[in-house]
Parts: sequence; structure tokens; C-alpha cells
Amino acid sequence: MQTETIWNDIYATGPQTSSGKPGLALSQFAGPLRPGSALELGCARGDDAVWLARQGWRVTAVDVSSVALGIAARNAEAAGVSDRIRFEARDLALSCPEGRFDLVTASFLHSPGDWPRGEVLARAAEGVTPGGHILIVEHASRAPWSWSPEDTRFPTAEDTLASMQLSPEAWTHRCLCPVARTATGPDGQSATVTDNVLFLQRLR
Amino acid sequence: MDHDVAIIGGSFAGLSAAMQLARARRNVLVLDTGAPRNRYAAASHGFPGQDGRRPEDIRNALRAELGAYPTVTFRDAEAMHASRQGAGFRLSLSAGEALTARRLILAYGVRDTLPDVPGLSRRWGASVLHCPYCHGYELNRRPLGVLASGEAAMHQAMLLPDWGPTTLFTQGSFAPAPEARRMLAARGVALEDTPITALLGPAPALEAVRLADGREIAAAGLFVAPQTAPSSELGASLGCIAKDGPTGPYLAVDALQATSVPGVFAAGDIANPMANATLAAAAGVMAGVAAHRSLIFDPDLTDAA
Ligand SMILES: Cc1cc2nc3c(=O)[nH]c(=O)nc-3n(C[C@H](O)[C@H](O)[C@H](O)COP(=O)(O)OP(=O)(O)OC[C@H]3O[C@@H](n4cnc5c(N)ncnc54)[C@H](O)[C@@H]3O)c2cc1C
Ligand SMILES: C[S@@+](CC[C@H](N)C(=O)[O-])C[C@H]1O[C@@H](n2cnc3c(N)ncnc32)[C@H](O)[C@@H]1O
Repeated sequence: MQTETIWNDIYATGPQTSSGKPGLALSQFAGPLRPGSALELGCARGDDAVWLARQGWRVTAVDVSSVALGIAARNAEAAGVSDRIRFEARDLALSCPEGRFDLVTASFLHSPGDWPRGEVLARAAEGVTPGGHILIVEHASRAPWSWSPEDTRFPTAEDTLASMQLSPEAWTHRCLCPVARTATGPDGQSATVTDNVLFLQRLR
Repeated sequence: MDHDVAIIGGSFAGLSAAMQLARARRNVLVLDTGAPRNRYAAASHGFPGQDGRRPEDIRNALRAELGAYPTVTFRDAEAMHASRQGAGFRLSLSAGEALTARRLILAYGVRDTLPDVPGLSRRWGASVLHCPYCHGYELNRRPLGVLASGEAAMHQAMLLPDWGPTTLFTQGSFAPAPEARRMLAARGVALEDTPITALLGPAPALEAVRLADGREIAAAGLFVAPQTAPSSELGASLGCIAKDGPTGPYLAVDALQATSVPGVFAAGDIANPMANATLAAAAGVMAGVAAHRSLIFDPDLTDAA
């Protein structure tokens, strides 16, 4: 099945509303930054993009699912920030938005099957302005309610960094670590899960 | 190690932590960038013994008191990055310099993002406010408004009539259920669904709000619920567990203000979603005492499981 179809099916049958809250890591790492231009990879229902826009960022938000983008656009409208977000339907495995960004964020940019995730992240990192940042948040453990197989092996933050093949002289690692968090499942149950956070600043 | 304890943020929480450590004759460094959260307010209210004083006068008094203790150093510098080093931590500062400390106290606070309504930010801390206990009394029972960014505004609207006749402006962000409407009516709160488009009166004072349909409604104070974000990513990058608060993330701490990372303590707004200056100071006292104890009882920073 096509990536687009898989995700459209998920969003078409899932809730049409969203938490309205940004990801915990995003608000912690991007909150202290001075707003500029931002690119979000895999924006889903738009909670992070709306939060960034409310913080003053001009946001380009990409997702492969046109259904998710429809919900995201309605969320942005309701929050009164439509004029600061450009939503783009695009399969990142095929192409990446052009342009320079002060912040690139990718939270839980996971997708079933084999796809060149490291390359996608690396290509997006190329667009970061000197002094700008890339924030990658990814699963490092499996929540009990996750659809991923129980024996899923998660990469470490270092593995993900290695898969991106960035030039070591061009980036400083402001955070490259697992971070624990209490996550809430679809039925309100909670569990402690671990995420990897890669927060890198471009030097030149 | 250069210091026993480095405190990041030198306001209510940080200075109160420093005092306990100074009195234990420990070598303390206080780093500060001079941007406390309440810098927009001309007066601070409710701090014991200091009610109504200018915020910077209170902080200067705290700093002056600390100046009497020889083991405290102040630096006007931003802490940029922290990492574990040996039995302590390495901190890099904005100027490119680095230093080491055996323990860290995070007291860098949060910053506010206000709703996007013309004229609102110019009035922040004077007539646009978030805490009725801090500034409600001074509004002197004149007309008040609550600008909702969601259902949480119900709570504020229920409290406010004790400070003045209140209108809840929903801004279309939620529709109060019949039961909620009854509760508001019982408190005498008026409901207004037409959005506010402008604030009127000589800023930073407020006299009225203008609605999208052109009507003007008198208001001397408008209460909002800003989104909050940490002033620094230090806690997160050290791996401290955070929680989602009603307005933004905060660092999880135990009763001794210890974060999930051994040797790192946090106090004030960064570690409490409902803090004020007094609560920040009290938490700072506890963090100072706890950091001191940890130097003695956990000298090798063993990773507590
Ligand atoms: C408009 C307004 C009015 C208020 N009025 C009142 C009132 O009347 N009464 C009351 O009790 N409370 C009031 N509050 C709440 C009060 O301001 C906070 O609860 C209190 O300031 C929290 O203290 P703190 O020490 O945790 O953080 P803050 O006071 O915010 O101080 C944090 C300090 O850390 C510094 N800092 C940040 N990042 C770094 C870094 N990376 N390196 C070094 N230093 C850093 C900052 O410059 C700042 O000085 C008000 C808040 C607002 C927004
Ligand atoms: C697990 S969700 C995470 C959503 C959101 N960022 C969050 O933090 O909750 C992954 C998102 O990435 C999108 N996605 C997956 N593969 C993609 C691709 N190749 N190109 C663009 N978007 C993709 C999906 O549609 C989905 O919305």
C-alpha cells in the first residue's frame, strides 16, 4: 500500500479533533528559541504547527496525509493562525521542501515499512540556517498500547544521528539523549515511555 | 569543581536557594539574565513583608542581603548548556566559557506567550493580567473581563466576581454547557461570544474592549491565560522528566525539589504550574537545603534508581 493511503486511512477513521497541545519535547526545546521560520516534518493534525505559530513562528508544515492536513487546517483556522502556517501535502521520501529554516522539527516521524528516514532528516537538516536548530523526537521504547510489534528494536539517538551522516564540524549537539515521559494512551491509560531527543544547532 | 552549587536564574526561587547555601558557607554561583517573569508589573503583591513593592526593589533587597555572605558569586550571564561531568556538572555560558559545579539548581522560570489581540501586549502586567490574587484587588471592583483561550477560562470567570463585575469573553474558543451557564449566572458573570477585536484606553490602562460587531464594553482589567514555555532547555537536555501543565510544560520534582536527574534540583515557575513569587521563594529554600544535604549524604552522586 502507498504511504499516503496508509496514513489517510488512519486519520479518516481516527478522531477528527486533537489534543490542541504541543509535544512535550517541542515546547521544552523550541520554547526558549527566538521565533523565525520553521519547517515541520509529519505535522499530522497540526498541534505542533499551531503552537509554533502562536509562539510567533512562520511555519511550513508537511505531511503525506491530505486527510490529516484537512484537520490541521481547521485547527489552525480555529486558533486564528492560518496566515502563519503553510500546509504542504508531500511524501518526504520523494522530496523535501526547498528553502531555509531557523528550525526544523520532526516529532515521531515514524512510518511502517522501509523508508529512507535518515536521508529524509538529513535533507531537511541541509535547509537549517547557520545558528538554527533541528529537533528530532522519536520513540525509544514501546508504549503498551502501540501498534508496533512487541519485540520492536528502537534506535538510540546516536544511531539516528549516524543514519543522517551530518558533517560533525557543522553541528553542535545540544541534546542527544533518551528522555522519559508519562504518556497517555487512547483510552486514557498512562505509562512511562522513553523518547530519544536530538536537538542540534548548526554552526555554519 | 569550581562551585559547590550553580544556580541558574537569580530571581525569587534562585536567590532564596542561594541564601540557604550561603548560610551553610557553601560556594554558590548565581547566574542570571535579568528577565524575571513579572518584569512587566509595576508592583508585586502578596509577598510576605513586601506587599506592593516594585518587583526589582524586592529582588535588589534579596541580592543585597546575599551580598553580606562571602561565598556567593553573582554573574550576569546566560547558562547555555549543561552536561554531567564526573561527580558533577559542566555548564557552558553564552560567552563561550565553561565552569563546573557539583550540584545544579534550575530556577530559570518560564516566559509567557499572550493571545494575539491588538493592544494586548502593551498592557501586560498593568491592565492585562493572569493572576487575580496578584493584581485583582487594585482594580478596585471596576468592570473586569476574562478573555478565554479555552474551557479553563471558566475557572477564572467563576473566581473573578470577588474582584469586580465580570464578563466572560469566550472568543468562540468553547461553548459553555447549560450547567456551566447556570454556575456563571449564579456568580453574576455575563457571557459574550462575539470576539474582542481591540482594547481601548490610554495604554497601559484599559477602559473598554471593542467587539467584532462594533459594540464597546467597559473593562478596567482583562484576565488572560498565556501559554508558558521554559526560559531555557537546560532541564530537558539534562534529561529531567517534564510534565504537561495547564499552560505549558514544567519539570517534575519531588517534595525536596529534586528532579529525576540525580544532583539536579529545580524550583519556582519552572517546576510548578501554579507558582507565584512566594511559592517560588519557598521552593527555592527547599531546593537550597536539599542541594546542601545532597552534597553531604550523596557525595558521589550515585544514580538513584
Ligand atoms: C505580569 C505578571 C505579574 C505578576 N505579579 C505577581 C505578583 O504581584 N505577586 C506574585 O506573587 N507573583 C506575581 N507573578 C508571578 C511571579 O512573577 C512568578 O511566580 C515568579 O517570578 C517566579 O519566580 P522564579 O524565580 O521561578 O522565576 P523568575 O522570577 O521568572 O526568574 C527567572 C530568572 O532566571 C533568569 N534566566 C532565565 N534563563 C536563564 C539562563 N539560561 N541563564 C541564566 N539566567 C536565566 C531570568 O533572567 C530571570 O531573572 C506575576 C507574573 C506576571 C507574568
Ligand atoms: C506517528 S505520526 C506523528 C505525528 C506528530 N508529529 C506527532 O508528534 O504526534 C507520523 C506522521 O508522519 C507522517 N508521515 C509518515 N511518513 C511520511 C512521509 N514519507 N512523508 C510525509 N509525511 C509522512 C504521517 O502521515 C503522520 O502524520
